[in-house]
Amino acid sequence: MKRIYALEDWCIDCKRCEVACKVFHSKSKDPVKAFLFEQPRPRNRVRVEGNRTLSIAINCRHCPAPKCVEGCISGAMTRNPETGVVTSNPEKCVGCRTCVSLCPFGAVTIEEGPRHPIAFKCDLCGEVPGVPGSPSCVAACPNRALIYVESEGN
Amino acid sequence: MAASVDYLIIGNSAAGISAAEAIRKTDREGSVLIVGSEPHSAYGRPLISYLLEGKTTLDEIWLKPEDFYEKNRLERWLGPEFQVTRLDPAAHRAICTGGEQIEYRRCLLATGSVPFMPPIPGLGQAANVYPFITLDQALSVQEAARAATERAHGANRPSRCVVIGAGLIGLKAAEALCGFVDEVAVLEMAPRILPAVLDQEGAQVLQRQLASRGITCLPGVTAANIEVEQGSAVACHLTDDTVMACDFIVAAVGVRPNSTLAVEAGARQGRGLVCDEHLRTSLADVWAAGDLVQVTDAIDGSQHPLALWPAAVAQGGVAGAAMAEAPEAPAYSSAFAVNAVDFFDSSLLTAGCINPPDDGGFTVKTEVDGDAYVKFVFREGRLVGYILLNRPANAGIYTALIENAVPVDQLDPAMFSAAPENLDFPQPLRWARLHRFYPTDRDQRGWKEGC
Repeated sequence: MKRIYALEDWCIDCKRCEVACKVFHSKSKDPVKAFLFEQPRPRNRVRVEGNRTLSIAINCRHCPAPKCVEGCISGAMTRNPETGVVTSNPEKCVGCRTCVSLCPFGAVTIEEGPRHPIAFKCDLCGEVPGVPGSPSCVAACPNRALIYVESEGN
Repeated sequence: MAASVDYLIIGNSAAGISAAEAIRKTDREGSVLIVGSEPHSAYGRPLISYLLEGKTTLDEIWLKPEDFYEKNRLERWLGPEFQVTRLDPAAHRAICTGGEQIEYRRCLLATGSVPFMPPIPGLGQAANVYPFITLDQALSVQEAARAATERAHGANRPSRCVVIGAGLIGLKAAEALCGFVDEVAVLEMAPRILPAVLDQEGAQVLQRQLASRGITCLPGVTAANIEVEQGSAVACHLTDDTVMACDFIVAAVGVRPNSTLAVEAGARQGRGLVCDEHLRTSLADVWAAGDLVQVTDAIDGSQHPLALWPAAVAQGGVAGAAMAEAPEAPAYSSAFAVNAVDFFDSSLLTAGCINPPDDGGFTVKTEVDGDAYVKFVFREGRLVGYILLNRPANAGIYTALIENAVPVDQLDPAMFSAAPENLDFPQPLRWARLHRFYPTDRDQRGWKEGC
């Protein structure tokens, strides 16, 4: 499958990936509305760690045997066996944080959802859950510090 | 009814479903029959408290999509009449309560845990005592709570539920019932709440938070006997000589492996069923997965069951692959507990060894910060356990440190003072962690050779 890889040599901590992610996952698709007005607040699923001297963007690795899926008590977290994309169904998630306790990368967060806190994670910008789209973070990166390339694993 | 199948799976929850999926990965043709004593498709068992709180619904609680059984050609016999009462490994036969006989080629026991009923005088005579393990039990107790509150308010008094046991099940039941009764009291024989997954200090912090939501926890106190009137419990006489009136009781003192079927058939049992690394029991052609299996503790090497959902799913996968003779079927080596639970706005994540013995060469680091309480346990330069009360961010990074026995001296010590990050790992390890399956024709700058 195609995966997103972050290259810390080029990352300058500009956080445009976070902005692009949040806007893509908003209703309005408008940065100002997404950041200031929309309710429930849209959430970015990529997160830049570090500072201006060393930084890297972290998002879901879409593991072939994801611990978040194995541990999910509600059946919300699933991996599409055809595409390999791991997504969380907001309708089914109860926000128990089992996925948070198991993801080795800190790539799942629990944040306020429409009714109660639920899991948020990278869905590869698919319009349909489980089907990859064209990742907004990669498109927004000015330095090619995020690349979306065919990986050597399923 | 009788059946003859290639694979018989006894138990229709985490381990059983996961095993069925694993079998189907290798064997598309073999017949699979899943039997379960609950008359429902598989559901997220730990979700029953969330259901009562309105965080999920009877439409969303199901573990798999509606067409799961059909799509995977899994036959299912579900309901109390399909509880398997006898297993005859020599004849490869299982017999259900209703008399149905099932002949199988290979069998998986995925029967989970059963609640342990404490020997408290009176408890067994009262009709209004509920376990809190299954969906139907949760719905019954919800109904009982509603009715009790209506009755109590009719008599101008508050309604009260007593929960016996402040483990995860008891406290989740208490949280769920808060919305239906006026007062919830939780008795716990041990000197602190959540004795298995918290320490003294963390338990006190959480107990205060529960108290602010109207749940009174009484650690060090349990019921000495139950006062029963006309078949219903009306009061608990406590071990501290007080009497606590109650409208109904939830009994949640603990669970034990539901392994009677196998033991009666002659299976080796320790604290759970003894299995090999592919989770095969000592009975011919019988495997086991989930709460009833004893596993090797990755931290201290002891043998005990790990009654946790993720462990059941993992074990189901291992057993299913072995039953279907998958090429390179994975082995189940050792495991450690990882618990994630939330109470109202509080989150509690714990893993591994959290109450180390004084003489085991452990070092401990704790921190209290407002509502948050954090504890790390180290041994021989490795993290072996944690408690994260109200500081959940990126907890899985810590879990991975325990699982992979990563030497802590390689890491940025700051990762134990705030949420851990991937940048806390040294560069080569960081690259390896984050770049699995990275295309070999690109370098670390993302460039293809020669470009």
